[in-house]
Parts: sequence; C-alpha cells; structure tokens
Amino acid sequence: MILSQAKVGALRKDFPMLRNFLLMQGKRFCYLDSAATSFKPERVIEATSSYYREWNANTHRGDYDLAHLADRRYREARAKVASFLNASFEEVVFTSGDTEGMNAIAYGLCSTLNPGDEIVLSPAEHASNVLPWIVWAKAFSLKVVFAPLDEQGGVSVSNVEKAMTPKTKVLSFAHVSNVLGNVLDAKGMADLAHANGALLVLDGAQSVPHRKVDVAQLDCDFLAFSGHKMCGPSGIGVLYGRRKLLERIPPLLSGGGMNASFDTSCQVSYEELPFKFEAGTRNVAGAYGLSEAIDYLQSVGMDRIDAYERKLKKEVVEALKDIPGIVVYNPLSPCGIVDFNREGIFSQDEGTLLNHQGICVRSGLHCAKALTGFLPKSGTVRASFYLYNDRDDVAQFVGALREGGDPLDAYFA
Amino acid sequence: MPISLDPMIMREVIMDHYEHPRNKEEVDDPSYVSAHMNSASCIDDITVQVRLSGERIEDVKWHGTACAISSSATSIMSELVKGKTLSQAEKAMGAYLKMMRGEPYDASLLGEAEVFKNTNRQPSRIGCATIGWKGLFQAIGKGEGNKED
Repeated sequence: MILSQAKVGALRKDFPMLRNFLLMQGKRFCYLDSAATSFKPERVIEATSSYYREWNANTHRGDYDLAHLADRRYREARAKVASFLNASFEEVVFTSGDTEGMNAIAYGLCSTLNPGDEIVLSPAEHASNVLPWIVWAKAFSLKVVFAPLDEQGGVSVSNVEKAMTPKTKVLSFAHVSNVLGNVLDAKGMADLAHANGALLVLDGAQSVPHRKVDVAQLDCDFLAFSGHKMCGPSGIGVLYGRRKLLERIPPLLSGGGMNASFDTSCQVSYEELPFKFEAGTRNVAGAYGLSEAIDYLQSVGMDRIDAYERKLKKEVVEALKDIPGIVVYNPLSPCGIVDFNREGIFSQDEGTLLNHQGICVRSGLHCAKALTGFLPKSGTVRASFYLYNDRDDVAQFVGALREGGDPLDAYFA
Repeated sequence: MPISLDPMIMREVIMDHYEHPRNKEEVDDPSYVSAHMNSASCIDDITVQVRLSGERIEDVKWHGTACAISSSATSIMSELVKGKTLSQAEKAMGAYLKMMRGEPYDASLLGEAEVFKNTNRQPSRIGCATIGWKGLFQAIGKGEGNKED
C-alpha cells in the first residue's frame, strides 16, 4: 500500500526538474518546499505545451473544427476535475488559482449577505483566506470574527461553535493548514455550519494535492485550490461551488464569455454555469495540464501519496527529537509539513544555512501573519514533503540539521 | 580605525555584533525620529531611531528581529555614525554602497563596516547589509521633513 523507495525512484524520473537541477551550492539538490509549489512531470509539461503546438484556438467562439477540438479538450479537462472532486460539471469553475477562487467566493457570498452578518475565520489562515473576507466585509458592512485556536494551533468544531452567533453566515477555513499542517474536521464543520444556517468554505490549497477530497462527502459549500501545488502548471486553479449557490451569487469578474446578452440600456444576462464565472479567454493550456496532473496523481493514488508523506514526516520528527536545539511546532499533524526552528537562530538564517547544504525550505510567516500569537513572531522554517521526495532527502535534511553550522557559512563560502 | 580583513576575523566581528548587538534598544522619547524597515522580500523587521542635534547625529538606537547579516550590519552602522555629522554619515554610506557593489571605496570612512566586504559576492545579501543604513536615512529624512514644517 505504501509507496516503496523503488516506486519513488521511478516517479522521480518522471520529473524533469529532478533530472536538470542536480546541485545547489555544490551539494545534492534537495527540494522540501512543495507546499510553496510542486514540480511537474514531463507528461504535464507536454500536455500543457501541446495546446500551443497542436490545438491552439479560443474556446466557445469558433465555428471551425480546430475550435471545436479546443472546446472538447477544455470540456474534458473540466469533466476530469469534476470526477476527481466528485462534483458536477457545472459546479467546477476554472480560475487562475486558489487566490482568485477565494476572492470570487468572498465577493460572491458577501454581496448576498446583510449588514451585520458575520464571517468566522481563524488566526491560522493564509492571507488568501483572510484578506478577501476583510475587503468584502468592509464593502458590505459585515463582521469578520476569528475563532480561537486549540493547543495544536488547529481549528476545532467546538471553538468555532463558541465564536458563532445567530448572525454567522459563513465559516471559511483551510482544509489543511499551510503552516502547521493541521487537518480540519471538514464534515464536522459543515454539519455545524448547516445546522446554524451558515455555509462552509474550504481553502483546499494544501489538501487537494495530497489526499483524496470528495466534496459530497465533506459536504462543503465551496472549495478553492491551485494547480501548481499539485504537479499542474502555473496560472490555473479551481473553484468548486454547490450549484444552487453558484446560481445565486454574482461573478467577481465580468466580460466576454460569461454573458448571454447585454445592451446599451445596461441590461446584462449571464451565461449558464459554470461559464457565468469564467470571463475572458481562459487558461486552456493550464486546464488541460491540470487534468493531466490529476491523471498522473491518480495513477499513483491519492491515499498512497498521503500515507507516504505522513510516513516521511514521522521519520523526520522522530529523528529531530535527538537533535539538541531543534524545536518542532507541529509534530502530530498528519501531513507532510514539518514546521520548526533552531533555538537562538533567526528562521531566515536557518533557511540560508540549509540552502548552503543544498536544501530548499521556506522561512518566515508563510503568509499566515495572524498566527504570530501561536508561533514566534520572527517566523519558523517549513519543510514540506511530496510524492517525489525520497529517503535520501530525509537523510540529507536530518543530517544537515544534525551537523548545524553557523548562519554565516554561506556568506563566507 | 583599520580593521583586519582576514575572513576569520571578519566572521568573528559579525558574529560578535549578532550575538551582542550594540545600541539595540527601543526608545520611547519624542526627540528621536523613527523609521520602520519592513522588507517585502524577507522577514527582517527593524526599526531605527535617531536623535539629531542640528547637523550632528547625536544618538542611534535600533530594535527588531532580523537575520545575522542585517542585525550585525545595523549594530556596526549604529556605532559608526554616532557623533558624526549628516554629511560625514552620507559619505560613509556612499563608500559602503560602493563596497556592496564591488567598486573601489574609501575604507577610512567605514571602520568595522568593512567586514561586509564580501557582500558583493553574494548580492542577495545586499538588502540585509544595507537595511539599517536605509533605516537611518529614512529616519533622518523624516527629521528634516519635520524641521521644514
């Protein structure tokens, strides 16, 4: 069931980055920042480029065979995403990424609420699941409330319940936190929302790439995620919304392709779903690349990927216990994210030191700038694992932390 | 004062200022002007506070969290410019920036700040090595602005 190192070795061969970028600072290149962006297998790069090489036409516009071909492939890409999420075709909107999706959801929902209505977030949220709510709440005179975190820095149903009032209309949380990797009890949160006349929005940036996400099972009302974090190309993402909700809310972006008609008396009527939410020429190449990425990940198996990442994390956390001075902030969260610091060393210095050892990690606040109540104000170091990380990566990472060194090693190299 | 440019010594000086920063203190005194330096590309977070007396930099204090290079560079800067006139401090910064770019510079103006000589070989750290200096002049600029009012 678990991915073997032989299988991972074979998978690594699929990724051109792992063939082309071999050394960093003279050391073996070790990429532990897939939570920021992931590498792409050759077949995804090939699929994305094929649009430009072989079937480059605009969609929904032409009456010629080439245009019909582009339409068909774009439609098939959407169907692939719908099947991947267990959603309906018209509930899947292609966006430029998670952030655009969250903005569209926030605008759409906020515009239907009444002054004084409340939205509940958490201090652990990424900026893309905070700022759109702050901006649109202000515009529509709504209130944004932050539910307190539990001892693991996670968002619990009981804490959210305490933060809810009769005016709460929206709950919006990361399905998996990009900093601490805590996994939300999404179904429990959906039940809580629905029992109280509210909706549940999920930020799926760190969940959809790493585990099976079934929107019917989770019972969420909206979900947003990005392609580039799941072996897909840049500039493409998905917004999922329950059909009756998408019918009810206005689109954020307007223009060509999403209107059925308009005239000089300023009457506008919208296209049917999902096109109402897809203004302008779309990232057709990106959508096609994303559907190829879904095929790729499914060929490995989302459950196997999830199990593998958790296994690697467990091994890393266990090994780090023996290294004096290393503090791990999220040893228990079931994912591939390890969030840590070396005592007395500024997180960005540690990141620079690891770069000197050939290792890519991310330092700082990770865009969760309200999490500073729970984590050090000066930030943390985040290492994240994905299906193409192997035991050599784990050994190199643990070895580098064990060896230590001072942050000026790189400066004086 | 001439300093040794032996890499071991340079390194020790930088670590010394990182571990024992000089003039690192938050000042609550209206006679100081402050500048908050919050880089968009890193997580350094430094506030520089300056007290001017006419053309002279009477005192420089700083506080915040930053990487080893930023912290030590700001600490060294604070000692270097204290007591200097604005014009002398500007000349020192000019020499420092030339050193950052690998251009010929007047070492006599820099004192201990010369330990950052290597920055021209690691351009990504130029921001670190200059954040304190930029904060200093931003604060001074505010002070000048207030005077004109």
